[in-house]
Amino acid sequence: MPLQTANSINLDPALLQRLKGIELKSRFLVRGLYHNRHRTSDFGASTEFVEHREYRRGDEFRSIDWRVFARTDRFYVKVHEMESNMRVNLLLDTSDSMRVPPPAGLPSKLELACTVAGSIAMMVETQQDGVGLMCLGTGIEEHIPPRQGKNHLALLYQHLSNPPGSGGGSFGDLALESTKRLGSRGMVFILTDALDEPEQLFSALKIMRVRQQDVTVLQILDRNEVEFPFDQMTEFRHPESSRKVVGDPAALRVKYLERLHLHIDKVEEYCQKAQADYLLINNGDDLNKLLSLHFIRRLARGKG
Amino acid sequence: MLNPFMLAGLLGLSVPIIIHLIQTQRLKPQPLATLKFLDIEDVANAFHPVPRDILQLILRLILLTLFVLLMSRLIFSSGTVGPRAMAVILDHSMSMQQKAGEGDSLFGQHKRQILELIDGMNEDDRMSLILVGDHVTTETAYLQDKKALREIAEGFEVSDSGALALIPTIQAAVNQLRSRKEINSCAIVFSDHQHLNYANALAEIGSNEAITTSFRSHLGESRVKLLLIDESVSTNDNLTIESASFNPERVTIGSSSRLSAVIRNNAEEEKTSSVRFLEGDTAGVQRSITLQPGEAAHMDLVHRFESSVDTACRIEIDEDVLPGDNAFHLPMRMKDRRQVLLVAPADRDEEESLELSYNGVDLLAYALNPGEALGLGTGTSIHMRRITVRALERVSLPIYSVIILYGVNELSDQSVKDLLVFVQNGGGLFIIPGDEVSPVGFNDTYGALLGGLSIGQLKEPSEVQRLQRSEAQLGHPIFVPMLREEWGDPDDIHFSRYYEVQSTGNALAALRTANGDWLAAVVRRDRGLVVLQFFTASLESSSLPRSTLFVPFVQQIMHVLTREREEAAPEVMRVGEILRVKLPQFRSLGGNVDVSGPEERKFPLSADDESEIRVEGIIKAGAYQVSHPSKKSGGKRWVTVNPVREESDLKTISEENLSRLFGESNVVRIKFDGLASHFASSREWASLLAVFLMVAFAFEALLGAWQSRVGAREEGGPG
Repeated sequence: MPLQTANSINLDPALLQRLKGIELKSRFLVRGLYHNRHRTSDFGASTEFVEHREYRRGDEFRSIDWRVFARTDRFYVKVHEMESNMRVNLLLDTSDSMRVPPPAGLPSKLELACTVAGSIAMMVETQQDGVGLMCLGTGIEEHIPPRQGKNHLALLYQHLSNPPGSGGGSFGDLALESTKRLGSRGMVFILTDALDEPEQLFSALKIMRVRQQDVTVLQILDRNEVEFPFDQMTEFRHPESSRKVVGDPAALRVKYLERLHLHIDKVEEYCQKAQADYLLINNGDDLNKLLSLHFIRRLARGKG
Repeated sequence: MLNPFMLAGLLGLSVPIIIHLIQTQRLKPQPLATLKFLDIEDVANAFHPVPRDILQLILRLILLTLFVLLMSRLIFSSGTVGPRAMAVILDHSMSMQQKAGEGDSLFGQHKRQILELIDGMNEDDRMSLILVGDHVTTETAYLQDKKALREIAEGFEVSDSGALALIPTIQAAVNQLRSRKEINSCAIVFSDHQHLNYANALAEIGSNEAITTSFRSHLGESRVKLLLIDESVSTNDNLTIESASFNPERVTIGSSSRLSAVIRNNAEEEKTSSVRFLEGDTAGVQRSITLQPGEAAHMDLVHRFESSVDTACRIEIDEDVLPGDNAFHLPMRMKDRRQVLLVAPADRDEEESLELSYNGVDLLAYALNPGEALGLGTGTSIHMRRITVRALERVSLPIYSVIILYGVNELSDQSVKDLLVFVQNGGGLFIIPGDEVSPVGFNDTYGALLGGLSIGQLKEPSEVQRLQRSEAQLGHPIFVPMLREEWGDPDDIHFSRYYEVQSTGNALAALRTANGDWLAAVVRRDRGLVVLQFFTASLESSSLPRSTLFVPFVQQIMHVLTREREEAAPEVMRVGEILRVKLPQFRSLGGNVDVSGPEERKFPLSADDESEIRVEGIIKAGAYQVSHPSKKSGGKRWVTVNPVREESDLKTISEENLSRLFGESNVVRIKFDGLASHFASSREWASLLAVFLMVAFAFEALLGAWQSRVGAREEGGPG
């Protein structure tokens, strides 16, 4: 059965309104091309004084602290922190497993992921950081490097409304491969159902962490997958393979849920080990509340 | 295969398969990205066709198949005769008494053959014995016990009844056999297959063919065989006494009666036979008769009865092929002498007594029994006893037929009560008032007996009165013969003194004067009659006692007053009929009356007045004596039972009519020797299939239990 998604992106104004007041900051030092609010590993011309350092050839004259020179007759320069903008990458799983038809009245996993991605992109663009998108299907289907500006945001939305990708490659492998293109010192949001074997995904997380990326894993699941509400004899089919199982859900539910929760717990545990944020979303959740709460907690954690 | 149509049940095998296919088609595919969490082992709990499910399905299909095969009753050839269910129907109607050679009757021959059949029964054979005539006399269940069956069969006896129940019994037995499981299910009919036995059923075909057609089709479609054993001799060489009767039906001792018998020749050639009359065991008159083929003749035999007791008589002809209809039984009930009690006052002086005697009582006594009065013998069958009024209370009244109260003007209360009971029980009372009677006293005395009739003053008309000749003026016909001058000229009689009628009550005028005054009245009191004479006993009152009409006048009164007690039909019946026998001599005894003869039977006295029995269900012809155990001496009566008339025609049913009745499928008419060839030598797979079925059930149950256990363990999970 061909899996389809809506040719649009559904952004809830209420959600955007709630996210608008929340600052998205990396927990780590970032590196950006333009001046902005985020602390970087470099020193520069911000207002935040760091230390005095002896003048070295090549230092700008304007950075010499003339008051110290008057007292000590030696040249010292004032070193200030540098603040730049942040590059945020959205890694979107667009495989067929994300395109499974949802229960009536709910968005599919991919639609939900796109909504979340669009909301984050809006947050990023609001604070004038750069946001990019990478769609991972069978391979890296699409890569839009982080940019700033409304036009770029519009481009992103255009892609999010119809995200390219089909089939189902190993998302972990693809994520690992994508790290080469992500650079370092930025933020990465991974939007996936994370149902493949998690080891490759964890390898990718480790590398991202090594590259000073602030990673957030948003595991998006379907309510049918989380609750397994079927009560009649059903033929279950995997969307990416030809495998099918005919069974009585009542007889299967207990063990199924047990295994699923083990898997989720495992993903969360690995995220903690890799110092990556983790948020589990299913399409039945109240996204406005869940997402804003997550970003507020994250912000509070960063300040603490 | 005994029930091939049951194989249609195999179509049921497709049901679980179709359900499986439909269920598979109806399953809605559900994409599930988390499919990998559905472990293959968990799926075994579900509908996915795992090997143990398939095994269970196969086992259940085998169960169904075995069940269907069991129902279709597979059979296989065997060296011995298969299990038999035999409904043996033996006709014991009168025609079965016909001779079948060597002095044995056809019934005896069939009975011997049935015993032979019983002795030859195998262990798994079952037999039901049915003895049938006009009714089913004996019917057993399907028994295996040869000893019990033999005892029952040995007790079978031929009757003198018809075979009305033969066809319904055959139909019922065949219908019952259709539900039997034995391979050899057959109804074996031992009968002479007399055409008349099937006549009703053949007539029914014309009126309502659906019934017979239905039975024919049932018989043809079933595996039940109808085996008609026919050993009857093809002869119709038979003389029959069709009926006989006495005239008169009752006689007094020393009188004769004429026996008229109808004798028919059923043979196809001229036959001569002697006809004998027997009173009890005493041979009477004998005559010879020659009859042409098909001819029937009346024969009269006159016999004088010289015994005072009732006897059972019979008329016989020479023995022929069918002995049952060669005798006809008749009872002769002897008439008792009429006992008349004459009550006359004795408290008169000699002269008056002599005068009265000369003029009145002696003339009356003479009129009652002239021979006895003159000392010349009995003369009439009336015996008179004369007593005084005072002695009346001491006399047992029931033994008398008639009581005459001659000039009795006063009676004690007890006597009045006794007389009333006497009349109510059928006795006759003749009241002749004396001279100088006080009407008030007379009416007081006799008021209870006369039912409202009362007399007035003595009337002495200025001119003597003659009889009213118009019959239309009379309410009771007792003296009509006199008015019709059958006894002489009634104009010779005149009446000068008589009592007037004060009130008539429910009395009927029996005789009137020319001016309409009553001379005699008849009053009915329950079962008896009272005759009141209005003219006095004195010779001055009437010229009747001195006329020649006086004797018939008195005899007529005696005849009418005693008729109620003597009128009773002779107790003759045919087998199968019902006869009501009045037995006043057993009144109030209660209990059962013994009827003994060829059969010993008991019948209860009816609850109404306990003087009647209802004789029914007797199947053997002959003379039966009726007695009551509480009354050892006297009171015995004879009831004779004769064979049914229809059984004498020995013509057997034709093959054409037989096929009209039963069809041609599964019906054979054979000799007993050919019976064995009609039993199939095959047996059923039933027990073997049942064992397989049980084993399959056991396996299925074990598999189910194992599955439940595995399921429970899996649901419990590793934790």
